[in-house]
This record gives sequence, C-alpha cells and structure tokens, in this order.
Amino acid sequence: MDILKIENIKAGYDNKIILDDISFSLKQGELTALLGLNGAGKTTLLKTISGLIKPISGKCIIKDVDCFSFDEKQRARHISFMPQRNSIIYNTKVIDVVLMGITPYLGMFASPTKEHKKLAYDILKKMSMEKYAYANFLQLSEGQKQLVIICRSLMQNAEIMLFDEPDSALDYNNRHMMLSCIRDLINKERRVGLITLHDPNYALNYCDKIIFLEDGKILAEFDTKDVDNIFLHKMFTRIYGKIDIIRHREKYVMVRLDA
Amino acid sequence: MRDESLPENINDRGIGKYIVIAVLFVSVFFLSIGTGKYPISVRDIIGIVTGGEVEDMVRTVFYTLRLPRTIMVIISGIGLSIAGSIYQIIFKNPLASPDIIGVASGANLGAAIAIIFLTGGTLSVAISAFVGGVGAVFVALGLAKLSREKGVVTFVLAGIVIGSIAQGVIMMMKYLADPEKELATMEFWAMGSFASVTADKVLTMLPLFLIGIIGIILLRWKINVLSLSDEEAKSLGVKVESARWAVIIFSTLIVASIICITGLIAFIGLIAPHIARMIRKTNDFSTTILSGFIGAILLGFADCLARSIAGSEIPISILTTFIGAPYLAYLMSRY
Repeated sequence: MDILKIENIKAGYDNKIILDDISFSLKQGELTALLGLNGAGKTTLLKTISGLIKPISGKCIIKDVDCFSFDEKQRARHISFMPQRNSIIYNTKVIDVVLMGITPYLGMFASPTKEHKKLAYDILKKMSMEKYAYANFLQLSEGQKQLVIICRSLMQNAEIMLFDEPDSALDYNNRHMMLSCIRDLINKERRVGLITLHDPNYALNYCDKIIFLEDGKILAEFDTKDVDNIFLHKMFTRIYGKIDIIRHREKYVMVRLDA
Repeated sequence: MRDESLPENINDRGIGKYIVIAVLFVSVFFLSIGTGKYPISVRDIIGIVTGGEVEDMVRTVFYTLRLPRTIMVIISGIGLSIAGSIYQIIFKNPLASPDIIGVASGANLGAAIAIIFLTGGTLSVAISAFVGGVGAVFVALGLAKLSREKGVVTFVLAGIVIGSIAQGVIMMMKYLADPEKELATMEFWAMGSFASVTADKVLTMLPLFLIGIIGIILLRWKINVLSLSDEEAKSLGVKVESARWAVIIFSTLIVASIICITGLIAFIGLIAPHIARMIRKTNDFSTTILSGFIGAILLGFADCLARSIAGSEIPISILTTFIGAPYLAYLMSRY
C-alpha cells in the first residue's frame, strides 16, 4: 500500500530550481534509496519532504492528507528525519538524547514523564544500546551515536523515516551495521524508509528500491530485486562513467573500470 | 564491531556535592547579612527571626539594609546565571553571556538617559534602565527578523549591532556630561553595586523577575531541544523561531529586572553555568538551576568583599571580573 505519495514537487533556493517536477510513491515496509551525484538534489528532496525547505509547488501526501499543510508538530509525528551529523555539543545523557524524540507529542510547556523515560529505555534495549543509557553521548563512537539518533527517531514513532546519508561519518563495519539496522527496522516494523546514499553498492545491497536523481529530475526508479544486468549497466554508466556490473552471490555489484 | 569498553556513566546522583553547595549557599546568606559597618552575628539573626531580645539598632539594620540587600544579591546571582546558562544552550555557544543580544547595553543607555535628561533619581534610573534593556532586545529581535537567515548567528549579529549603537550613544552622552556629577554617576552605574538596594526596590522588581523565571521553567524542555541545530529541532516538531523568541523574552525579563536595580554585573552569568556543568557533567535543566545557585554563592561572596575590603564600598563588577577572568583562563588551559 502506498503510504507516501510525492506529487510534482518543485523546490529550490532564490531563483535556482533544484528539484523539478518530482513524483513518486513509497510503500509500507520498503526501504528506498535516493542515488545521484553531488548537487543532484537528494538532500533537498529529503529536506523538502520533512518540511525543512518550503517547496515552490507540489504535494506530499501521507495517507490522503497533504503534509505540506501540517505544522512542525503534526509533521514530526508522521515523518522523522535523521541528519548526516547530529548537532549535540554539550555533554548529554544518551537517554536524554533519545527522549528528545517525544517532543512532538508534548505540549508547549510540558516535559517528558517517567513513562516516556521508560519507553526511551525500552527502545535503547531493542537496539542493544541500553548499557549506554546513562553514558555521555559525546563520548560514544560515531557508529554508536548514529544508533542513538535512530533510537530518537523511533521514539518519534513516525511511519515515514527519512535518513540523510546516515553512514557518511562511519567506518566500513559500522556502515554495514547501520544500514542493516535501518533495513531491518523498515522491513520488520512495516515503516516507510527513504535514505540518501553515495555508494550505489550499498543501495543495491540494502534497499528494496532505488530512485536515481540527475539535475533535479528523476532519471529512473526501479526495484532492486527485479532488475537485470543490462538495465543496471546502462543506468550506472550514465551516472558513474566507466563501470561494470558483476553478479556476486545473487547480488549485483558495481566496480569501477578505470580505477 | 562496537566499542566494548563502556564509557563512564554520567553520575548526577552523588549527594555529597549538593550538600556542599547547600552549605555554601546558607553560609553566604548569613555572611551577607552579617557583613558591614554594623556586624550582625548569627545569634542576632536567629534572635530576630524567632522574636527574641535584640537591640533595636541591629533589628533596623537587619530589616532596612541587610535583608533586602542579601535577597537582591541572591536573586541577581540566580537570575543572571540561569539566563547565562540558557543563552549558552540556545545560542549553542559556551561563551554566551546574558548580554549577548544587547540587554546590558540597552539598560546602560537607559540609565545614562535618566541620569542626564531625567531627574537622575534612583527610581527614574531603574525604570529607564529596564525599558532600555527590554527595548534593546526587542529592537535586536526585530533586526534579526529582517534577515532571511533565521539562525542564531543572526541574533548574535543583531545584538552586536544594537550593543554598538547603544555604546556609541553612551559615549556621546559621556562626552557631553558634567564630569563631576553625571559622568561619575554613569561610570559607577556601569560597574554595578548593591549599596543602594532597598526593600521597596526588591519588591518592585520581584514580580517581573518571577514572571521570567516561571516562563523559563515552563519552557525547560523546549530549551533543551533548542540546543540542537535549527533543522534538527524543527524535525523534532519544535517551532524553532517562536520558541526561541519566547525564551529570549523571558530571559530578558529576568536580566533587565535585575540590572535595572544593580547596574551592570560582569562575568557571573558567564562562569556560573560552566562551574555547574563541571559539577554535574551533563547539561540539562537541573544544571541550569544549579548554575543559578552557584551564581548566587559567587555573587554573595563578591558582594561581602565589596563592602568589607576597603573603607568605602567597591563596585561589584570589579570583584566579579577578578573572580571571572582568571576562571576563564583556567577553563582555557583545560582545553
């Protein structure tokens, strides 16, 4: 079932159009990758959907309601957004970072309750992070920090989860850990996931669907399961240049030829 | 895959350090009541409170001078430090102080105007300083609204602009002022003092101060979330601009209600939050409250020194600067 429908989104800054007539829809339980080179408009699209950038025109429909009419609070209950890097600069307990996810459910003058705190602890437990609950967030490794931010998004309990290159600051192992964690969350909990990535191999490996952006337009949109070598080769050559697509254990891998 | 060595838990349960702070706070209270030309002993204070036999002179000094002054010192320490802590959080800058968006310069200008153009009496100076402080912040907020960039840097820049304009006008007024009386009064006002605090003044500023404090307490969770980048806070459902406005307005109310009575007090609002964060090792609203008590202790000791180390009273900012600047240097050496 389509939960999120993007219809003819046009967005940009000043007089520069960055996204031109973008339309697609996303299903429950599917993780979709947004691929494209720097400047293709991946992050702008993500930020537009999450309400951080006001679109020039277009609709973003969640279960028949246009979410561009929502205020911050309503939107945050339906859409969570995980930034590339978190912006926490002061010593903060991990559990307090997770608790920030409950903010869209609190009144203007309210603070989280004991029940919220228990919920935050349970979420940390689900992600096997409970032993860090009272540790200082700033002293965690980058991979652990990103996991905590995912816990915060889970606390937000939005059916649509957006991730802006959550793997960009991570080492090889943590990158795989992070992406499999995101994939499992989306698939098992039947949420809608949209993630921007730089490396097409991660998208082929972990995502159910890929949307290619080029110069603010959708170049292609396909399921990673029912796609053939020829199509992938054609598509990836156009974006990445001299590459080859090889098949390894029922999965496609892109390799660069002139490296 | 994951780092198995557990980072140290943030321990904010240790009761010992809070007992030390409570003891210091109570001692400062008694010390501040007792210090001055007419020393009042702890026994006298207990006598007054319990209705025992006490000399009339001691009783008069207690009620008309020491008690209002001590309460004002405590209120000022609490208010300036809480405001400083909040500004360090919402401006995401550990060097932010309560006057970052112009409240102190505005109040200074207001006081200068009262000294030169109005009667120059304590009431007119206080009202004018309060209006100047709040007015400067509103002008800075309006200036920030002109910019399309809604981030905190805009607010800081607007504060610098307003502060500079106020300083320019003050300099002009100093140049034109009568050096014997007006100039001296202006200079002394800018160095701060608790010498002229009376019960009436405390009772007048108290409601404004309390409105500010209650507002801040109600907004405590929003303040926490505002420590994140604007985008992150927005995606967590916070109306960043209006929440920031509300926090700034309540904080301004706190600071302006204090400095319109005391004049400018340097450094307390900057260093008390740092000490509180060092003690609690975390940065939540309890740390902000703790920084209030630390500020009250620091300011209390400074004020006792101000009235006892020389023949006549020393302006408070001289002492707070000599406490604050070396502490900053110490912080610097730790990073």
